[in-house]
Amino acid sequence: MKEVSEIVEYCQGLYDDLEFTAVREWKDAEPGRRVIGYLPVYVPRELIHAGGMLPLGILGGGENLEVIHGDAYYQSYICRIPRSTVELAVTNRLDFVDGMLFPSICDVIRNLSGMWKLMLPDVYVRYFDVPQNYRDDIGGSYYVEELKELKQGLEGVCGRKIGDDDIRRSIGIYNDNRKLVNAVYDFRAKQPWKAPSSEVYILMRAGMVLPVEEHSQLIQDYLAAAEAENRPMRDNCRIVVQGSFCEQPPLSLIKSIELAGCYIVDDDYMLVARWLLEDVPTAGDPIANLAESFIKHSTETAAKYEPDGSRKGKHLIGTARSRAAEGVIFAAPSFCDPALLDRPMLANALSRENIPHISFKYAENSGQMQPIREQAGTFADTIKLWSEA
Amino acid sequence: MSTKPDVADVVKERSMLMQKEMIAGNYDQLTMAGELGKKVSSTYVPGNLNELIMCFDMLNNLPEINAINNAMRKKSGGMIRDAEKMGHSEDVCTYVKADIGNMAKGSIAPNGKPMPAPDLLLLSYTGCFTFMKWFELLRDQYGCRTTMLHVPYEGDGKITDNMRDYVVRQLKE
Ligand code: SF4
Repeated sequence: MKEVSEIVEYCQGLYDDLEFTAVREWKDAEPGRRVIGYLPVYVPRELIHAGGMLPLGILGGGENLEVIHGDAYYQSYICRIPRSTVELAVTNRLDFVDGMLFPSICDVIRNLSGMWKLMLPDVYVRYFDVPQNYRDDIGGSYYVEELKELKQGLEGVCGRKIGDDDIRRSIGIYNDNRKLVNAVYDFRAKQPWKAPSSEVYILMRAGMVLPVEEHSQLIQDYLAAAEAENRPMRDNCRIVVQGSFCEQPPLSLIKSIELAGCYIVDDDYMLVARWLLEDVPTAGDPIANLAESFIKHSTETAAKYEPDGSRKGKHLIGTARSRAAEGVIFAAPSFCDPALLDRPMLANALSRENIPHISFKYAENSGQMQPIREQAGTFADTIKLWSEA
Repeated sequence: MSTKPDVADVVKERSMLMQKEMIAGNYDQLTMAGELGKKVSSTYVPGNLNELIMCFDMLNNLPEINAINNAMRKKSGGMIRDAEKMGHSEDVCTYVKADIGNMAKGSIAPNGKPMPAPDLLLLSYTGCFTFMKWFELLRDQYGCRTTMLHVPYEGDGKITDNMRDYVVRQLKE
């Protein structure tokens, strides 16, 4: 059996590697292999996989990438992920990527899709506009056609038809992966001292670059190793992290929250792996199944319109309750309108339920963690000392 | 020595004057909505749903225009600060905060009269999530009905049949 340290070291290596060596090696292993990059927050990776291609999650450049060119493309008052993603492109770190999907998450990513077309005219680029209307006969049928168009575009990249059986098989493989991802989240919520979030995070990040089958195996190895490892339980405060669904926090921020005395028992870091809340059926029309799952069983996040005002915040409250969380930390990227404009509504909903919360902002390259440690530490102490529960 | 020209000397184009007149006329109508017995719909400029609103004989309140109008008259600083005091982040869209701050101050139109609360929030979403969150926030404050029209973004610069059908189905809904 593998040791936790061995798995963590492997994941850390993948996380640190801004050249995407593992993906390059995968691509070079067989002629004709193709890689499709995607940005947060959700794309149906099943379709990419069904075409025999590797979906590559691109989550910006992180804390170690020096952004020089990227800043020249943007005004100062927007978040960092588009700058560092441009930096990755102009420094040829993504020169092996055959296609890029830009999901609808905000106008920054939307406009980046247009820039990509101008910058890299030979790369297949698609702005993937998911419906914000969740009625079967309205948004549902629109989404079915969107998926068909996407499939057609992907067929152009992989050079073959993507058959229904291919998609069904991929749906099954991603269902398995999602179950395993959820198993890690459940395991961490139950015994957070055995699965620190700094480990869980890079384990999930590995899923952005590895073939899904390898990632599923890695998760199984981690679960077995983490269960077997004897780690002391601390009297930490259980918190949910909310608002980090697009530009990612530096790993040091996650470590700082933990060092400050918090166990993260749920988060919204890489929603693509947990977007669908139920298995996608593997029988029947696979495109219709993917669409129906999206329309009926997708998670709640700031990237979605909530048509019913009375439901605002219910999902977050439900998560906090089901994870037995004692508080919520809103941690959002600076200048992130979707997360930051959502926050007051969610915060009010939490206050109405007497769930404590605090908020701070970050950039993917934030370096100064002392204020974060102080805030998170004070929050944890406040809950432990003054909470009525 | 150069001196700053007097604003009164600036020659405006006819279209500017006409625009000014139209906007002022809309504000006059809005602030008299009660007397006129008209319902008010708040909506955005992109997505342009004027024809639809006019069909129902409703008036148009355009929060972006309110925000920019207040900014041009140097009124929005205080409004933005008020919204920040209410918990809004200092680095989010100032149009949203100016609107929310204006609401807290009684939604005073440029003619000095209060604007009525909207009867309907008609959200035309065209790919900018700020719009979506903005109207969720307004709905939270006004508690009024919100209807959304999602107009897909033309990523490839062309309107597909699927996009058109989606918009038509939403309009029929
Ligand atoms: S971090 Fe926020 S503002 Fe920036 S691209 Fe992502 S969703 Fe948009």
